[in-house]
Amino acid sequence: MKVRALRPVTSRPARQAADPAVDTDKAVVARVLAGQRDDFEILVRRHHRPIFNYIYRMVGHADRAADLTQEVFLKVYTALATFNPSFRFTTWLYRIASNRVIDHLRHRRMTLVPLDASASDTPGTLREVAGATRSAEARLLDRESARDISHELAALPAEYRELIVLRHFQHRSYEEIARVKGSPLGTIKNRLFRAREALRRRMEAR
Amino acid sequence: MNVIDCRRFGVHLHPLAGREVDGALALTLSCHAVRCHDCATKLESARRVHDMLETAARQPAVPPPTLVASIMHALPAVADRAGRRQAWAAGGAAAVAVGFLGVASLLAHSSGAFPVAAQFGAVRTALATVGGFLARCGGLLETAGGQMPRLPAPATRMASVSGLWTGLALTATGLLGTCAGLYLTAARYIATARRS
Repeated sequence: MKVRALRPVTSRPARQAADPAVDTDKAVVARVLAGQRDDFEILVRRHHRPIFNYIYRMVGHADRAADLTQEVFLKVYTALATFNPSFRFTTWLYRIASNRVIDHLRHRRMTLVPLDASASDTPGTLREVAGATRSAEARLLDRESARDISHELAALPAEYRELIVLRHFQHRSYEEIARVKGSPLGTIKNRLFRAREALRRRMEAR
Repeated sequence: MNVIDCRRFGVHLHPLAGREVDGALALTLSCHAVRCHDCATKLESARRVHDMLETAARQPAVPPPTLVASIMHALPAVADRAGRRQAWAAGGAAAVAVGFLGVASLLAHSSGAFPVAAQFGAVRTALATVGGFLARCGGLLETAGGQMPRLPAPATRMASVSGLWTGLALTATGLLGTCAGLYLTAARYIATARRS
């Protein structure tokens, strides 16, 4: 049984008040490991939306995405002591999420449900964040365009879809994607090129 | 200005469409696209895909409002399970070690590898080692318990304690096996001595 000794990540006092604006993920992790268990909620609140989005784009089903998001955070919680502070917390988080999603897709061999935008604000529906000032027509076009691309994206192999989601929806850098996937940077760039080409060809063929 | 061919243009197609390249390279690629109709078509379709991806990315999915609460609610049970698993692992390892000791003791005697007196000495030493191992397991459990982030501490502590008791029960079973082995060995030795 390998149990690592506790190592404080920062030298700040354990009971220092947490200011969410300046509180880094690593500092929160250190506090949780030091005994302030409730602070884990800060990490959950901070990252649950992008992780849910990432998983939702991968599995195409809101309920399943919510379940998997929960599983990812529970895994993070139990494995928090193994987090290496020399890496970014988000990289580690996405790696756990990626492993879980790929595992899920592999075991279920599920049929992907195309992501669809509807008018309601029910969980899993797509909501426009930056288009509040746009005209209704433009928003409708955007929604249709998003639906089309999401449909084609869902038809791509999971490996390709994941890279596109990480790069274009989660806005991760190539380097971070390489760290998340544990692959060399060149390999990731090459695969991403193939993924984009596959998507472009599918869109052309429509 | 460098002149590039269609193959090289293809390599930079998506970075160019996604506005990831700039400066001289972007200019060179654009010049090529002006001269080459095929590449220009590809660039146009790649730009369309990139724009659509950008549009889609502006429409994030809405997680259920209860997601955070349900995650936080599930944490204690998970910590509980993890604590129990660690305790089981430690107890199981101790039981296997003791069982192995008993079997080794029997095998050593039956092969006549060493006399009984030496064997008892070896067993005593081994038992001390196992004792040390158990103490180490206890220490590991304590450390693991300390490292495991858990919300309601009593729940996890109870899980660790119940796991520890299970581990101790397994260890006791292993010890009983060892004692039985030693008893049989001693009985066989005494019977042999009487016969001779």
